[in-house]
Amino acid sequence: MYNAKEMIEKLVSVMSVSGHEERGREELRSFFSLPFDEYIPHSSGTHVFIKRCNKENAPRLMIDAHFDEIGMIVTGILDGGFLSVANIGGLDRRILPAAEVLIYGKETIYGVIVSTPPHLQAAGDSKKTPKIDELRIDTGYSKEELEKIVEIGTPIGFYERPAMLGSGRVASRSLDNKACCTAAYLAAASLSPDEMEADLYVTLSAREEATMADGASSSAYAIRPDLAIVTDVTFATAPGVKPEESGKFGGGPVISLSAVTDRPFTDSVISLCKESHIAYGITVDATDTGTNATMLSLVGDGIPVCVISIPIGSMHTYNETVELSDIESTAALFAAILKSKDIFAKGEDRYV
Amino acid sequence: MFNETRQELLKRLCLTFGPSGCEDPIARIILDCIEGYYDELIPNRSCGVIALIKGNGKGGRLGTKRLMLSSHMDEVGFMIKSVSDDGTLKVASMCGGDTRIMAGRRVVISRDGESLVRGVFGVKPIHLLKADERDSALPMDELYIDIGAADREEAEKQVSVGDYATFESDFVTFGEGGRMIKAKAIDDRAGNAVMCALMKELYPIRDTIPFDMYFAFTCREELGISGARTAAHLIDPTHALIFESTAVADICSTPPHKTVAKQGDGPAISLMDRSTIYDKELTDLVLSVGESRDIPCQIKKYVSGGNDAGHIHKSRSGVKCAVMSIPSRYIHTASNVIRADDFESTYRLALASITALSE
Repeated sequence: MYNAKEMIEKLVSVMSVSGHEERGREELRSFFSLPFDEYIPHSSGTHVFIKRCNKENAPRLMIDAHFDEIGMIVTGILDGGFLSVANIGGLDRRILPAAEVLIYGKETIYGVIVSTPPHLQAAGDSKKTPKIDELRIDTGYSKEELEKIVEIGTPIGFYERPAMLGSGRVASRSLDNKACCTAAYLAAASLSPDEMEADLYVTLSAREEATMADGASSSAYAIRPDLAIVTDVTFATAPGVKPEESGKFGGGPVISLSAVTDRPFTDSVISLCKESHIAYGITVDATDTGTNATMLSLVGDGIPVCVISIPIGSMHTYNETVELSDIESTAALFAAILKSKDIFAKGEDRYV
Repeated sequence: MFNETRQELLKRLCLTFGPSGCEDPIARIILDCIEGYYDELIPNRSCGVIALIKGNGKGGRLGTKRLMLSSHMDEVGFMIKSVSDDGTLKVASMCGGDTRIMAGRRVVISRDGESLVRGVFGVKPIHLLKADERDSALPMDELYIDIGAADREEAEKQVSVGDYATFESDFVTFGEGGRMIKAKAIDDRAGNAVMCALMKELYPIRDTIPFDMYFAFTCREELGISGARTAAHLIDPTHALIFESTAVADICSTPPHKTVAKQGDGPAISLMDRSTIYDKELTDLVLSVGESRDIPCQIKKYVSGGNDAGHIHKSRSGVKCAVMSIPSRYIHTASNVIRADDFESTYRLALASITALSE
């Protein structure tokens, strides 16, 4: 078993730019092999890990953490060994000049996003962000050699590996959403089957950043869980980010109140936090949680969904930040839910 | 004394903390490296490390009596301006105002280069930006550093107003056959590394050199108020060779007349830049040495930038200067990119030029 920091390092090392989630399957399976009983690859690219409670007719809890990460895709191989690209997911163009990337071709090679030197900039250029189709990546290869490694469609991810800020905060690429994948793993690792009131289906789902939820919802259709938790990142309170639209670093999991999620399920999760003395925050996402939750709630004849988020700083940059304690307390909440008889007993229909 | 290769020394220098005004960590590495390869150190209060290798006093070509070799130790950086209640830090830039190369990057913060605190330039997530904000560079006053502190009290245990910061950036070799080098601070640690290597090579044969050589590793070049100016006053050289990095744009579809210089074609020799018109005789000698000894070098084809020569050539009654600049892409960012063969060519051209001045 691994601790939060170790698992983050392992998961970040697995490239999972949207649409390429299946590439790291064997590594992921080995990282997750211990606490889980079964692995099922789903055709969407979603990885499904099952841990059973060994009880008859057990209810099924799905914890969905999207596994994909933002990145880029090669659109052209240019003279001098430069690449043109398109974005996958919402790239923050304000931080891209001189940023470092990994290009996942036949081999993984390194590149630097071109930054225009001042003598080539017109007045005011430094105040504008580059357009995605103006971005170029410097690979240090000749075009001919580069074409042997990279092709149109090759995915590109950011370079930054995890590093500690102080004793409890991690900075890294791809914490959205590998922080939450880690919390799901830690929950499973902390439980014995005897303690569990439900079978746990962890879906590390595909393509959230690109298409929003098709990986989650199609695998949910196959699983048909009784309840689903969507765990994704939310904004951490920071300069420019208001407390009411964010969660506090170190404040524990952030529970979403929204018209598109299941309020009785959500209320019982909040009660459980109080009973279990797990610190938590609340955000109001009135009409949209910005997560897989909306689509999941519409799968089949409907799945009650609760959104439980982990706050991260500088979302969608190559140095997102997260408190390890928030990952651990989110895992503790998942474990408490799996141990709760009440939550799974409340599965009666609301509209009769 | 150093037994590492020139590129290993470059790596050590680049990875070390040394923004303008806080060059001591670099000075320590250099002093360690050049131990045993000089006759004396010239004491001074603010110029930097100055080491003298004495020649035989006969006088060299072009009337060379005292040759100053100069490279600056400092790198671009930041200074902590204030600590906010939420534990984040505000900074002043010592590398211009282009926030696009700062936002999102990792930095290290230190008072003296001894204990380092890691931070990240945080940004408001794009999800919360208005459309026009997404298309605009982050305003400098919105830039802040997150060091993982929960509040001001926790932050102030680790950092203080006036602390320095630099980018944190790995030393990476990449590209075809690993021919490219990416790091922070290649400007001008590559010049430092070339000069250390020259000292190691020249000290044993100093009896054959007809002039004294002063190796000046200077402070605060990036601020323009250069230690090279005071060093030149102290040294009173007849001639100077400056080792630098210069910004090039041999990238993508840049028109040829704007590329400045081409990576792989050796050091760029400037005829003129924004601070200096270089000495014709000395510059011609360097160029002819390159040609006759088959060492790649090129003329810098754009009037841009400036370096320590701007101060040195005006020192006392004037100093004849020439510059060798390693062509660097993305200079002044966390990702300086040079070609390893240009670094080697610079060393070879410098050594051959000193030999030619001795003949």
